[in-house]
Amino acid sequence: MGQWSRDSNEPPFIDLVPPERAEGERRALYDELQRIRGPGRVSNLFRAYSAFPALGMANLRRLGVLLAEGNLSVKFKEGVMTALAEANRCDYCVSFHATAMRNAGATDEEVEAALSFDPGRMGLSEKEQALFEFAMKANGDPHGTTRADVDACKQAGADDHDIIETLETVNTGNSFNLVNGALNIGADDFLSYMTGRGEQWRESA
Amino acid sequence: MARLKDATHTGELEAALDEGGAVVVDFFTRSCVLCRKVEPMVAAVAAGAGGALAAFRIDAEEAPDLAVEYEVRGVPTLLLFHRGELIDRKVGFATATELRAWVSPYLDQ
Repeated sequence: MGQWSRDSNEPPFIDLVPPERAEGERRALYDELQRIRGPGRVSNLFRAYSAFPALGMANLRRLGVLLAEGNLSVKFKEGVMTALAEANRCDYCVSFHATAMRNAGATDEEVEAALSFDPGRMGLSEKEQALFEFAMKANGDPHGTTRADVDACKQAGADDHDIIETLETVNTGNSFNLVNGALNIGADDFLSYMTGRGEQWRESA
Repeated sequence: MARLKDATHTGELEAALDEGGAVVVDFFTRSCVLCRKVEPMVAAVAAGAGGALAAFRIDAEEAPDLAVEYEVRGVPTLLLFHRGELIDRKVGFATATELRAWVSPYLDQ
């Protein structure tokens, strides 16, 4: 199954090689994914990236640094990526990041708040609320941000590390949304939360 | 909700203005990148306001008469109406948080 915006019978536009057919560098990427995420968790996005295995591995490691080595909470970063998925209308990405946000401790109401771009209801610290707002501004118009926007984050307790971490979260979410949208890559079989978002968009279109 | 009701050719804007509540109109064009970015923000704010805020989008290229009438000189342009009167306008991208603050004084109880 692909993205909501296309015919439901339209397959992804490139071959998503399943784990049982993976060999060599692709096999190594899939093994690393399952080591980190658990058995069977070879996402469709990384099946696409496996067409360029070294890049796929680099992206996986980069994602690991962003999520595991940063200062900011995983709930915040997955919340930003959930919001971006909604803004970019990537239904696979909404399901993936909303699931990850909930696994990071968010309630259903807080996930809904992310989908409404409402940081005040996401259960975030004051600093992370300010950074979420900055993330939305940077995503909306990266040349429209001002020093005052950065200062607002700093007044809420953020430092330069936090700001770079936030912007890289925006980059990561957008890049995944783009690959999935452009190649008609649909949700993973192991996802079950927030999987009907595309139908709601279709009805409101 | 991720999209606004398209009122380019429907006359729904006039009907909503006659009703007198708060109304946001998003003038856009299909080739405008910032328009695609701001529309989900407006839609989320309208959805969160329940029935207290009506929100529409109008294609400025398909409805040039409306664009001239409301002095739209660039897109995206957001117009805020209350009780049938034009209250304020925003040009360019705005976050949902900024838009909530913008419309909140005009949401009738």
